[in-house]
Amino acid sequence: MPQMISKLILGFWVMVWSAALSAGTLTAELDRTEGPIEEPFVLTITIEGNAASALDLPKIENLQFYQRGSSQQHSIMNGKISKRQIFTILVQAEKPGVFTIPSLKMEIDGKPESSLPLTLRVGTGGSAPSQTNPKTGDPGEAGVDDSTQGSSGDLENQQVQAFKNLEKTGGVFVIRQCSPTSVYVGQQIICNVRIYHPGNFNSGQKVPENSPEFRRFMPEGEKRFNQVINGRRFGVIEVTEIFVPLKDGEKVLPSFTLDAQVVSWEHRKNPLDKFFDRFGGGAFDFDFSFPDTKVIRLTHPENKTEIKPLPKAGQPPQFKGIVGTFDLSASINKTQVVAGDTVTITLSLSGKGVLDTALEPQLGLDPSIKQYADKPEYREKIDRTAGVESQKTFKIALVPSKQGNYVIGQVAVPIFDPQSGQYRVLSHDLGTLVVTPGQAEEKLYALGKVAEPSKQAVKEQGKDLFGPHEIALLGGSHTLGLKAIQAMAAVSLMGLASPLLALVWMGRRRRKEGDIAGSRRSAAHRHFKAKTKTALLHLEGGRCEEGLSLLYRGFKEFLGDLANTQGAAMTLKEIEEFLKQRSFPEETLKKLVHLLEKIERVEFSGQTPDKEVALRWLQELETLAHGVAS
Amino acid sequence: MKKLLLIGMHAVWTLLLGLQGSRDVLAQSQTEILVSALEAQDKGDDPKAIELYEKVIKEGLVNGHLYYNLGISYFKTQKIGEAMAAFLAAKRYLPRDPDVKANLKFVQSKIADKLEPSLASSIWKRLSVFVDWFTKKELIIACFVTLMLVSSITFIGLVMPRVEVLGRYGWFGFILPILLGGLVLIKEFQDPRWGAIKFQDGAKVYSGPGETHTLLYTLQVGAPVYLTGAERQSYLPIEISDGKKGWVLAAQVAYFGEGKRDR
Repeated sequence: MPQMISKLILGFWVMVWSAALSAGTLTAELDRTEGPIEEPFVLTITIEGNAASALDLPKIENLQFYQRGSSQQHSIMNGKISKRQIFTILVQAEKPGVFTIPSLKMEIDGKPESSLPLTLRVGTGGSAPSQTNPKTGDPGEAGVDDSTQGSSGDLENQQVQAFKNLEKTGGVFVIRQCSPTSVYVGQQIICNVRIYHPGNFNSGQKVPENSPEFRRFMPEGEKRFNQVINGRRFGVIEVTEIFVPLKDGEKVLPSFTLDAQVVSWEHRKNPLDKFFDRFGGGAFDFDFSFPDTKVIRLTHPENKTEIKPLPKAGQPPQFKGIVGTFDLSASINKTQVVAGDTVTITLSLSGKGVLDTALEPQLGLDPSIKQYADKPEYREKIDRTAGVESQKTFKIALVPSKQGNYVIGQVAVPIFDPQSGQYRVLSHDLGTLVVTPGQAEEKLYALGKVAEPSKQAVKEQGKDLFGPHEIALLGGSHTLGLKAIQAMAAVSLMGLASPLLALVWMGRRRRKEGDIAGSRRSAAHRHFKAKTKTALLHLEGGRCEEGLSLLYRGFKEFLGDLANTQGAAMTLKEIEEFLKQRSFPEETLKKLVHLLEKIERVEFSGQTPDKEVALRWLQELETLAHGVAS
Repeated sequence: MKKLLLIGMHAVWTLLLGLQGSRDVLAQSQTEILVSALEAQDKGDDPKAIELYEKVIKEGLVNGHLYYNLGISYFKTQKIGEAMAAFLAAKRYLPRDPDVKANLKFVQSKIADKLEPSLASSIWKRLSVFVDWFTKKELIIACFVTLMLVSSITFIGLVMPRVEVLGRYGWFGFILPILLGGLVLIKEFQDPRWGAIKFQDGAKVYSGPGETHTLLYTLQVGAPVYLTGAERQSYLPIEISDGKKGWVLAAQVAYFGEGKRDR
């Protein structure tokens, strides 16, 4: 029971203290306090609790801070969430000297917190020895010992060598395998770099290293897998590097050096341990292990490679240093062109190898064809297994200035194929460029000032044409001459005029005939008038019977003259018919016939009418005769 | 006086004989050239044949068979444009000749542009079916003959009362020569203006006379073109069978036919 009470009291106190412990802390640590100028220091700043503001690093003359990463952890303790932030900062001095990083101040969980000031000594290059880590005692720069570096390519040997230094590197090591180990200048070497780690590899910064003897390519991406070596399980990160040697000889490939952040877990002394011990702390089994990040410079055994020079034997004279396995394609956008127009030749080299420095192939063309090279298009693909594959496309504009047939022929690009170890000449036949005259020349042809050249584009020989026509057919003209047309026009006019003339003639003739009839009619009328005068004298003299008889005969003779017949023999019926034919008005005709009947009755009956009546009849007949005559 | 009259008559007679003689010499010279041209053609010397045929053409002889033979030689020397123009000219004067039709069709099959030597206009096309069957010379003669016939009939009808009916209805017969005259006019305006592109790389057709105008389209060698007007600034206005119009450099067009200088 008393133990029970004591534990309850202890629990109460723990709760009270845990509340006190929830107040934030700010710590700053350097990986070492002394070092050469070329090796940056690593400053680790740890913030426990909720900071009110962002981390603000002080500005110190000749000292640069580079933040390289941060991590954040959350933990729940007694129902409360605690937060922990760790910042990793590289500190690089610009010149040797002693520098002091002042106390950092932040407000954490509502209370001002500060870190201790730190002093670091920076020596000249190589003067400051590599210092032991003030915290862990591990060397700051670790790696495989130079003395243990093996020859390139032997994976197992490298692994054995690396295992000897595992303690120094926190279990992390780097191995690089390259193939082939004997290459020609310009041939690709593909290296696989494997970073082995037991799960504590946080991040890495590759240290740049250039060499004038190699070109270096790094494909994107990485491969991650696990591997068990000597019973230990390692995570493996594999990246690839590709080297293209520029000079021959026995060479060492530029190394792959990595500043790796390696996490180590350490058991820190807890400030509450004494308190817990005093109160029988064994009952509270707290594990206060905290992660710690170290930056370790990792490298691998050097890779020695034999770089062979390109053979002199069999080297084509136009060889311009293109090494790889390539194909050539070539095309021309048109094979017939008018002088002055542009033709474009496209040459494309593509395949395995690096072509960015490849020069434009030379075309052995006629000097009258001007050449204008376009900016080449270059594409590059870096593959982890195939290496560098590239394509370079040259576009050359040709402008022929004169007409003619120009043989472009074979476009040749000599290359060295490292696979076969021999030179090859890639070629493509572009055929013949037919240049026809430009418009200016064409005008000259039209004017006959320049002889038009014979053309050869059409290969037909006219086999399917029908043959020429014989000489007998060629002589006569198939067109009408001007004179013939004039003659035909004249005859046509005459032909057209003849019926018209006939019409005119007919008209005149009819008019003439009409005139004859009219004159005859006038004469008959005049004759009738004369008889009428005589008849009038008889009537006025009282000789009515004689007068009417003379008038009757005179009228019949008048009608006989008009009808071109014997008028005296005409009966009344015949007179009526004749006048009907002459379209004499019917009413008037009836009057006339009636009058003639009355006169005829007097002549044949002997009944003499009055003088007055006889004179009226004479007057009426005279009027009717005038109507017939007109 | 009698002597003077005789001397004058003799002089006129001599002059007429001289003119006739010179004409005969000229005809004889043309015949010799044509014989040589045919011989050259038989031997396969087509450039020589072309030279001789063109010489005769320049002297003014218009003959469909001559253009036909010229077209064969042009084709054999791979001048498709000139061959097309020559066969088109031959067709103009020998519209019913099967050899001309066959060779024209053959050359047409060799050109890149599938164009016909006829306009897209439906009226022209319908009329041309009939018009194309005859030459202009034939139509003129037919027009002349029918005119004379109808005139004579009408005249007789007017003059002779016994056949008065001919005079009365003969006037309607004049419709026939008038129609034929219309066909002659159609032939005059439509037929003789067909040429062909002779430029081997094809001719650029612009919207106006000159390169400063918009480039409309390009005609390939041998394409038949209808010349719609007179040359202006070295360019010819053309129309093609699908109705497109434009201007092409005159030097790129081959044309043969009466009334215009061979290009």
